[in-house]
Amino acid sequence: MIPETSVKSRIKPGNSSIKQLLWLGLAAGVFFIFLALILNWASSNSDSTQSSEGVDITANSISLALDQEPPQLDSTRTSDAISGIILGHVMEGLLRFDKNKQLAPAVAERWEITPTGATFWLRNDARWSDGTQVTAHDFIFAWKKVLNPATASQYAFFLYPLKNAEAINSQNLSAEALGARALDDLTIEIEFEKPISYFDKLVAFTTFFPMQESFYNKTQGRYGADADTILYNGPFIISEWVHSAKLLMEKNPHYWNNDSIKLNAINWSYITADTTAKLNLFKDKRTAFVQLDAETLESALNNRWTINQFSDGTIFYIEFNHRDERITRNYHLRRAMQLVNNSNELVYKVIKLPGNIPGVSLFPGWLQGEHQLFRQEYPPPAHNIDIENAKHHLELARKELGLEEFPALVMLTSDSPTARKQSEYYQNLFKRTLGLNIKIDLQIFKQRLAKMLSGDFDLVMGGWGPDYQDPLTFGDLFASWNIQNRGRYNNPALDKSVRIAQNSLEPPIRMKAFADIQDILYNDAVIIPNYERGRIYVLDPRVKGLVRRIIGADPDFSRAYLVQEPAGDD
Amino acid sequence: MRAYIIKRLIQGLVTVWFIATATFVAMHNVPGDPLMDEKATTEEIRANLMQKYGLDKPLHKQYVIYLGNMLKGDFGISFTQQNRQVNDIIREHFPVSAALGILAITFAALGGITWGALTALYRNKLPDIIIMFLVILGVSVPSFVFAALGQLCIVSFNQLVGFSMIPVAGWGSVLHMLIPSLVLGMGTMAYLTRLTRSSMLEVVNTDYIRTAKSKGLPSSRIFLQHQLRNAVLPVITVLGPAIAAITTGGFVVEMVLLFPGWDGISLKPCNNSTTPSSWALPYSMVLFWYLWLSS
Amino acid sequence: MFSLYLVVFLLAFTVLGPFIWTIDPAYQDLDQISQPPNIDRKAVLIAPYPVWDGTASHAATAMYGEQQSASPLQLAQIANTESVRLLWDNIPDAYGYRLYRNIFPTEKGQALGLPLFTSYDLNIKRFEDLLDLTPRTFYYTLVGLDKDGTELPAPFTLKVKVARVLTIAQAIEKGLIDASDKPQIGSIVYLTLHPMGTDYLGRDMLARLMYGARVSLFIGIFAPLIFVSVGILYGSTAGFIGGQVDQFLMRFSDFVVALPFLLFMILFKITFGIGPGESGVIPMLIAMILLSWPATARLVRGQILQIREEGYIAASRLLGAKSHYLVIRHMIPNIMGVILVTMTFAVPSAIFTEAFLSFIGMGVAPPTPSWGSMCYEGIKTMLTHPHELVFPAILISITVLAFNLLGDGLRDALDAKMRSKE
Repeated sequence: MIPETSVKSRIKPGNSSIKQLLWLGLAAGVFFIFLALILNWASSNSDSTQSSEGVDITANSISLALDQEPPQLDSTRTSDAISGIILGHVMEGLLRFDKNKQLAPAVAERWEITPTGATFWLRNDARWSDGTQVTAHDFIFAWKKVLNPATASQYAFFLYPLKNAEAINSQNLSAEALGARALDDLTIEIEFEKPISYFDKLVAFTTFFPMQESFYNKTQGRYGADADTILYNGPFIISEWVHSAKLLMEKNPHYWNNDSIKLNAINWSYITADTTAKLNLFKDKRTAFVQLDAETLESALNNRWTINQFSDGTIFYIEFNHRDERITRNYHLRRAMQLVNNSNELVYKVIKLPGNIPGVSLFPGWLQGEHQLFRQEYPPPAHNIDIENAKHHLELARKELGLEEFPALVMLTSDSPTARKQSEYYQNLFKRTLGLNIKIDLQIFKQRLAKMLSGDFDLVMGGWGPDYQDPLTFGDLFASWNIQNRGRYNNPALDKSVRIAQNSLEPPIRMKAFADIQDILYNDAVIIPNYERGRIYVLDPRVKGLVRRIIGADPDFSRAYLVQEPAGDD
Repeated sequence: MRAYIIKRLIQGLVTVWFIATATFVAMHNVPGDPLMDEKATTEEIRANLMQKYGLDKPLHKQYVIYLGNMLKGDFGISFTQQNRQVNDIIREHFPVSAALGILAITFAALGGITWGALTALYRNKLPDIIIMFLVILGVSVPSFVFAALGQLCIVSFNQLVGFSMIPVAGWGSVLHMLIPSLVLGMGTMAYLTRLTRSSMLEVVNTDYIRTAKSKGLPSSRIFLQHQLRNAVLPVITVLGPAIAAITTGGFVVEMVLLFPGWDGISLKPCNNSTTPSSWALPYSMVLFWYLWLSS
Repeated sequence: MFSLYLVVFLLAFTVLGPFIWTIDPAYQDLDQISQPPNIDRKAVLIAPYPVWDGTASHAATAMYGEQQSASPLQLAQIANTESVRLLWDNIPDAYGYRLYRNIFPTEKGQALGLPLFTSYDLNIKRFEDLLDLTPRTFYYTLVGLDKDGTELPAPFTLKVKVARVLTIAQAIEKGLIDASDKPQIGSIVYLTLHPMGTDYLGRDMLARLMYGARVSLFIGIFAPLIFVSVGILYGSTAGFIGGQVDQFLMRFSDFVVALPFLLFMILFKITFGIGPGESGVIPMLIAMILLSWPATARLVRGQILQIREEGYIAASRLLGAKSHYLVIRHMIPNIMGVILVTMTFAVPSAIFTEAFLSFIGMGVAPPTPSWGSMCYEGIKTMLTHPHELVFPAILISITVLAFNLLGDGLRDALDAKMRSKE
């Protein structure tokens, strides 16, 4: 097949040169192995992943894979989910959420909340991992540190319900004015800025965790950077942290409720975001838990693993740009696009990941209302796909805008595979049903955020994960003053409802306000809900007691325990 | 000799300064800043953060600070791994990538020369065609497919053996490095195979080989002393850039096979949380030193 | 001249292909997502599908009612790809229900498959499954849950054969039948043919490969061609002149190599003012050339330095040969082999660089396909739907093969020409 040429002389592969080549190859192979051994010896003293089993019954430990390296573990500064998982295992706040997602006493033995403030009484047997007592001062120190402008905590707003907190954080007030103080070693008294109905649910959050002042000063600005620069007060301590490779946890001998902790060790032996790698690790019994995606699901089914499902509470939607210069400001245009939306098709045929629920409202289905679930009490407006009506609205929009033809709309999206799939689906949907041209503007993380902030889009693929367990975490998203409102939606009626929900303490009034917000968002076609995210995962059947929750550390293995191989297997 | 070393050092410094400046200019012209996050921050918090990282100062001042820190060997604080100095990160992860890179490049060079020589000897015969087919496959399929397939093979192998003989992922022993180095070296090996073949065939036709043959030298000596020696020369020239390519290409492999290497760290920010910012410089620096040392 | 046939094939595929195979590459056939080639495309026409009121139809009872009367789990209507509607009776001692779906028959003690539905409301005794329904057999299993959410023993399994259906309106919309044909319910239609299967959004692979060839071949051919030429020019200049100039030129090339690629790609995009959704092929080409020539330059320089010391160059110089004559007549031909290898190997890497850049929003905008990005997308489903990876990978391999053979031929031809002149 290679063209014959005029090359005349050519060396015949003599027997001896082949032999020599073979020897050479052999020598090369030996050299390669030798080199590998040397490198292994050279590197063995630096890092090594102990090759432990995913579930080790004798050592009473489990091994897991972490999605990413936590940026740092300083609870006053952290804002990401991965740090949240780790801190949830090694730290404890005043209160915590138990396995039934109910508030339970933690460092605080009991507490009392009034419209003007709150009081927490700490237990006297709570200890730091060096054996010293966890006192009220440790909490106050941590909170003042969060609010100190020099800390530059992104989650400082969590503390804004405390009196004067916002003023301290924005640099014009001394930290001494904070409406929280230690009455004695075991009592914390809090004064509110204004009445707040969900304060107890906030207190369980990472930003409210304590920090010991004397230890912090010893670390000289490196607090939370390594395993030995953190003082722990939770069920586990970090025994070894090899950055980007592994993070090992051991049971904390000083934890006050030591009896409730069954595992001796939790080894986050692998750090990777690659789902296939994580699946392979699980398959090889190196890890005890793996989250699946649509691609790895079939493999899990074929392996006959028990698959579990969990809703993580995040809602995804398309946001319109409501700024003056954008044509998406026109109600009829938005309405037309809303009327052709088919979340069912998106979720069941395109994304195909079980556990995702088609989106119908900004408020996901799991939110609690007054007595029942919020959406049972106030169902969202019924959505009927109506292409004819959509075309009618489109025509109205064209007339109102005075356009001959619609220009192509820019849809801003992230570079994640699901977002890509989703935006290509919508591009086709709007083209097919309405004849609208959509330009997909795919941007990597920071570039996308910059464009969202400056309003450089017509539509944007958005999403929101809850910060706390109250409908308000979603409800205030489209208030005109909210910085998360990237499309600058501005509606006095909606703002009014948000204010009611923020300031009222009466559940019926608040829920009615949220229902009004839900109706406005649909009737004014502010957003197009896509889906509520679900997670599917497999867990080694010998591990019990895993807690998955929407708010707080998830997954939570701190109360997990091991059982022998269940009968009937094999 | 001393004058030469000093000269090279000065050249190196000037190049580094150019890279640093170009990176700095680029960094400040790309939309988005390192402080942005999925959940927007209020103006006050943002201002606090800007101050903390010195981003509120005028640009020329930032530049001076940036260069000054670099002279001290301080690459600033990483935005992705806060509270850790970039230096620490480099110190921890660089050896890992380097070890993997050395192994991969050795594998690629040895394999490439061996296969290349073989194909040249068997030109247009079956072994040549088979190896060339594999070479083409090797470059046409991206390395992460090999990484994924390699991992799959190990899992299947372990299941066959009944216990975990070869680790699937992670870092620790030679066995951990086996698949990553093979995968990483694959593309370069294919390239070197092709290169060796081509330069060997070139040598075959030169006068001195003909002379050697007519002198009646044994073909094994001709092969070893003349052909192979000459064919290896271009391979060595290519190795410099290939080392650079392997260490940068490594991040994909590290991502899939979970190597706590440098490449994974330095490229990670682009997919998730920061603009190419503080990492860009040390990343380029390392690359540059590689090149410089190899030249 | 096998390589010529390959080149002709690639050209025909790219240029003539879209005229022969006229399916729109952006058309999404949502009924055939990720389908391999050669599937059964038979579908039955049905009446418009009403929203389920929760009752069982007579047809289903007639079909399934008899033999499965012992099981509390029942099909409410005939199962099809539009929906599978299930009803069940009370399970004693249950505080809730969980419904699973599996693709194998489930044996005792084995995993039950995919959890579709969990409810602690005992009044809800029906479920409509819409998730990814394909014409195959599913095994639905109903389990009772106790107070703590633990599954009760003795689950009930129902085997369900799903038939492919289309409503008349859908069939007309897809252009499978004509409204004037007066289609009958129950008659059989055939779905659109996709000879190479479909991708993750039900788009025709063949059409996408044909359109993708434009971007991939353009980048894959021109980028290596130009940057290798630049590299040769730069490297041979540096190598031939040598001394201070060489030092300076080489430091500059080191500098270019060390620039962070991604950062400068973003900058290029901004500089060229490419708006969202617009194709950035030309800027991408320029950026790739600007950033990738140094490797070739180094290679060429090294070779030139080596050849410069050869006896015949000195001899030629003594005979009064000019510099450019030396370079063009002696040096370049001598390093042609290495250059051609470099160039052929730059083809796939250029194709994949394009794909990587497109993936992070810096190359061509969706839905424009390219072989590289199709490969990237196919990798995720490598094991379940291999055709999504295999076809684009084969085409890339063919391209690389063609260039390899072409390079070989070219080198041999050059060689022969040089020799005949001697």
